Amino acid sequence: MKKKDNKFKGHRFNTLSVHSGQKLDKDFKARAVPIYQTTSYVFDSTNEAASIFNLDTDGYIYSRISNPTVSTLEERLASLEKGIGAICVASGQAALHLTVATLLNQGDHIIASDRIYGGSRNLLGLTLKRFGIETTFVDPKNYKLISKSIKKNTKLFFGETIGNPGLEVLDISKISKICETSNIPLVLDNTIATPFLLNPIDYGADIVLHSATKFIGGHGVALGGVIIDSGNFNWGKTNKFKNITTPYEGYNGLNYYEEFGPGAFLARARSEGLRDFGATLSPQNAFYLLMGVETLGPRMMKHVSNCEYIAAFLSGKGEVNWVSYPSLKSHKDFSIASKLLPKGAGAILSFGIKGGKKSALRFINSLNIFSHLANIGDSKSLAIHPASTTHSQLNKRQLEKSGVSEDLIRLSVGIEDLDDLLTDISQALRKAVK
Amino acid sequence: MNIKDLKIFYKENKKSSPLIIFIHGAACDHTLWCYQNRYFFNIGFSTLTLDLPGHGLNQSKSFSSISEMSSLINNLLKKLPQKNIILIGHSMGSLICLDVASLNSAKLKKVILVGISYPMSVSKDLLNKSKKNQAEAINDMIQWSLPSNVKLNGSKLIGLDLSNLVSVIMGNTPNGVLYQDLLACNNFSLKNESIKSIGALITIIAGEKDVMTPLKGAKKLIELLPNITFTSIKNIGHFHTLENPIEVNKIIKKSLEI
Repeated sequence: MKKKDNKFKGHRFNTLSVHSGQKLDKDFKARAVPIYQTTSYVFDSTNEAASIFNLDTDGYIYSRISNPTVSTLEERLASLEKGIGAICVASGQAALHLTVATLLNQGDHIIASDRIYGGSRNLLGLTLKRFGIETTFVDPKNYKLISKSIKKNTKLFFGETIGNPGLEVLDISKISKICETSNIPLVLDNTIATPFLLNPIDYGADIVLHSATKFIGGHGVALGGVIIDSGNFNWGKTNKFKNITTPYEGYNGLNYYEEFGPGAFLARARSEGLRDFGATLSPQNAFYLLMGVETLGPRMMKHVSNCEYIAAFLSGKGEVNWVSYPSLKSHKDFSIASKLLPKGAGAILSFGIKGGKKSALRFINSLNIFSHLANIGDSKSLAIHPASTTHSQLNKRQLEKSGVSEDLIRLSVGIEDLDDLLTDISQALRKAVK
Repeated sequence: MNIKDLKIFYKENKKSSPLIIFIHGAACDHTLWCYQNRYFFNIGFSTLTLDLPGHGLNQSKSFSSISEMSSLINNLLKKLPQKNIILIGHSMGSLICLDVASLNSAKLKKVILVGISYPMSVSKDLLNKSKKNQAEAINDMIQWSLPSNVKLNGSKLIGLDLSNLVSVIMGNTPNGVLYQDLLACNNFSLKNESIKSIGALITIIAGEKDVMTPLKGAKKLIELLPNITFTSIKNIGHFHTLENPIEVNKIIKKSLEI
């Protein structure tokens, strides 16, 4: 198991999650992070304005590109994921889009795990295809196929550290090695694991994405996404990444790689991608997400302990065909999960209910505490039937490949009292499978 | 322009523009100057950043003495057509600047030393650690270089984690290079007479909370060079150019207007 350990060893997780990124407001000495609800910023002089616009000076221009509340969240999440920096955007989908749009051009190619969130699969497989970017979906455990699928124009590998909803655990080190050999960055969505349970950069991920809407925000009140750069990928090693390593017309011939070195990708993504695509995170939402980050560690401990117990509980129920949770010995990725996720394998589990789709829908309709909705990572417990909702755009073959069967129910386990959750599940199972 | 053993990033403004050469410190590279290089180019200077041997994108064999490194810069000065050159160095780079300045090239008009101690003694512990375990030595250096508020709350750079950024820049340095750099700093000395003879105008920029090259480290140079300009920046440590680029640029700009 390769573990990279070359990052600065400073403060620990819970200290960073409360303090990192917040420069205390010197005027009013507010203890909480202020919400800078402003679209724009006053320049001290015309020279300063020109300098900031030209990227000579780091400064705020317009909240589409950066905002002090948002940058507090960016710096906090970068520190928690051991990255050199981050860019927050309007959603997890926007994070994936901005990453791809920054690195790839028409005619380029992506390799993606076929065990990913349906929305990401749509973006890569259908929407980006219209713009000339092709994606080959592969079984993330088939390392030979991954290597074989890499082409001259392949620009990145994308996967999820814990797949949604199949909960496959990616062997990050193995895929990282393949990516390193082929000089392509490994881009991983770490939404389900959260930085509390896993730092993919430690195992060789180059760029980490999150839907911050989920556990990071934790309360289901704000959408947001984040891109965190490890700073470890050498963009200049080949001539593949021309967007980063050749002069850019948009800033008078700026060569991001020469100028910013490890910070080149983030600089290009912000100065071009946020400027032009504008999938900006609002300061109000950044504030809500910051509130969530402050309690991420303690919340995840409760999420995980509830989920581990519920997984074991469901495993013993007669109404249940199977349970998928990586901390269960029966899970095919138990071994890799034990190594990568010693603090727990997250708070999402899926199970197959006897009686298939009909029973699954009855189960969901019978729940009292669990809410039926299309989200995960809320402090409240949630349930959904992916085949008829989040993954309903996929055809039968794609559903099978994504590990989404008709009997599958996905639970996002919240932080309520465990006994109440068990009671709720028990009564719903009884009603569903008569 | 090709100069043996140097990796150069050169941006020419007008042929008549004064040229600023930026020289990085131990286990660092040219990107340490990203907020200065572009700024001064766009206000009319030609600029040249470089990676010393064994640093950044320069894969040449690294050197173990300041005089070897400064001879590269002297060679560079000779080949450059500009007659109005400003040298700016950070930490180890500032010692290189001092050594070059002592040769009094007619082309060299001003020298700006960012984060200098002279002499620049390096503790035996750090030297040993850098030899045995470069990654740990880098970690210690970042611990000492950045003030506690920056390590906990972050820097002025938007969306960037300065501790991790510096860690990546320094961590890219091949093993053994940091030891050579620190040894070079530790062993460097000039005769007092050589320092006193320096004709170029000298400005020192110091970080108020710099533990690596503390404020008092400039005392000897101030005694030897009475016309020196000394400015310290509040609440920053040893990575001046990244911790407070706006203030560093203001001081450099002001010193170039004299």
